[in-house]
Amino acid sequence: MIALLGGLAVLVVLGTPIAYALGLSALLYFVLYQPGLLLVVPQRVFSGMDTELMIALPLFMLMGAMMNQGGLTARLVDFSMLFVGRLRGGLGMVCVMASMIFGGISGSSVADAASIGAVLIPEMERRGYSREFAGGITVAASTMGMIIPPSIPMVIYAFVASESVGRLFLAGAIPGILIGLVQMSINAIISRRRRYPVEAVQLTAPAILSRLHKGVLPLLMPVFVVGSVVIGLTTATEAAGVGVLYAFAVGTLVFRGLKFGHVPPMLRSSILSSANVMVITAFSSLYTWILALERVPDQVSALLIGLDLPLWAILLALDAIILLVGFFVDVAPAIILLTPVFMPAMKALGVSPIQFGAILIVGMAIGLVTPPVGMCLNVTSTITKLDIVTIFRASIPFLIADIIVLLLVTYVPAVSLWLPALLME
Amino acid sequence: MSRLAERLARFLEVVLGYLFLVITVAIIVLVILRYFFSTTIVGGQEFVVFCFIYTTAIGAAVLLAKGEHISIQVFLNVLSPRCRRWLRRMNHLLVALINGVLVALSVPWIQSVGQFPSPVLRIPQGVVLLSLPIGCGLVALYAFWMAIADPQPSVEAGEAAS
Repeated sequence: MIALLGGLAVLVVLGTPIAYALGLSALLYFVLYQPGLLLVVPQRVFSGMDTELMIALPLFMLMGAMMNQGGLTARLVDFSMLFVGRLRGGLGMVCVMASMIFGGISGSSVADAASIGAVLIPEMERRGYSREFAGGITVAASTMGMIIPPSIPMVIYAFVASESVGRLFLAGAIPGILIGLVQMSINAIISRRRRYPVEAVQLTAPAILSRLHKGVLPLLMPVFVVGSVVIGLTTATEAAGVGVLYAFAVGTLVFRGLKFGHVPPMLRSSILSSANVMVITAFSSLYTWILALERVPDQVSALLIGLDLPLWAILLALDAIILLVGFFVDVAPAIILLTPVFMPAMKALGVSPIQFGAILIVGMAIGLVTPPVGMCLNVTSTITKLDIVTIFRASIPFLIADIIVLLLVTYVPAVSLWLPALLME
Repeated sequence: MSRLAERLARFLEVVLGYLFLVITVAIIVLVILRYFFSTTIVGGQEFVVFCFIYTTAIGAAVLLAKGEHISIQVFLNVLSPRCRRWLRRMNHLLVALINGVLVALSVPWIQSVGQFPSPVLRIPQGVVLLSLPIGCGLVALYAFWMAIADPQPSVEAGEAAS
């Protein structure tokens, strides 16, 4: 086991691509301890690629990219303005609300930060908000992108944990909305203190209808995608496929921002991003096979139970581990590596795999906005021309919302389990 | 050699795009057939999964060529440029090693099970199992070339699903 875990740690620190670090450390293990089982290596790597569920991954990415190219962001900003623009710090509120809806369409926090930030950060600056504040709230609001369904990391977790995608989608809904509401409250407090402006929103019938019209078509997509999976009408992959068709039709015929020429680069980019995750999945399949062979998950489980600590302390330690891993490791590999190790322990402790998934995803979302590898920070840094530490500092008040919700998801199972139980029992 | 590697990567990327287009269209058609016409294309689902496996195998090579594999660069960034260059070369050699080993181990495996038919399409499983040595072979070639030529990566670390 030392060869396996030590080899992996050394290679990852030395900058070896995570997929191949997994493969090399597994190879070292086989050569040293199980040379007779070397033929298992290609079989396990292949079985890690042989999945139907993960086809949903590039399809969700393509769906989000098409909607975005079609002109989604500006419409969501307009739509959100109708509901929260007239509140103190209206543009901050709009940023959070638009991110909540955007998350439901793209399933990606990075796309959320890039799209909403590009539109709202310059506008917020123009209206007197500090650039740091604009960057901070944008980056913190983007964390909802991977929590609110349909969520790409939830699909990855569902695959690794062999759990229902529909239940996991629903498990993320309440935590995602809670984060949005707490962030809006924090924005209200800061905006009142700094006297950030309210926005003048026309409330005449034609203006309201026009803004509602702009938001309805994008909003229908996550409702259909999640709804069809939840009621068992389609699989996640089929729902994503239909979502792509819908996004294409709306983007070309209604929004008119999407042209045929935009599609080939989107296809290439989506499938490459998906391949990036799938290569790790393939090699991690080998890795988790060894972990199972060496009974590591059982040992972790026995260790945690043997500590004789109260459940709350173990869960607090779990949150700390997830946050620590999130500081350094990207979301997909972190999910792929942590799930098989901790899942048996969580089951033994009476934590539902669905709740564990929600804890993992909410915790990893925070990692996206923490230095040194937070991808959303990098994206927002490019837009604001501020360094990532400055943006991170400005986002801390809003990240408190994420931490509060992480603790709620950890200690109040109903936050993640109530909705799946209500709609899927 | 550099131009050849770039052209091959571009070609493979185009192939990936077409494969994904086929997957997307096939899934949409299968859904429409099932829900509106109560029928299906026999083996359609299996065909889609086979295509997806090939996108992963070929995608791995394109990702390496573009320097977009997910890795953690934060510790490397504190090292001198000279150290970073040597580590990058060493990493490429290691990537070539694991992929070369996979190609070598795939051969006896495919020879032993490749002739068995797939569950629905009834084509020899070797057709899809070959994706592994093809993908790993391409990655090994790229990694070996990059270890020698050391082209500067366009992106330090890829990001995929967040």
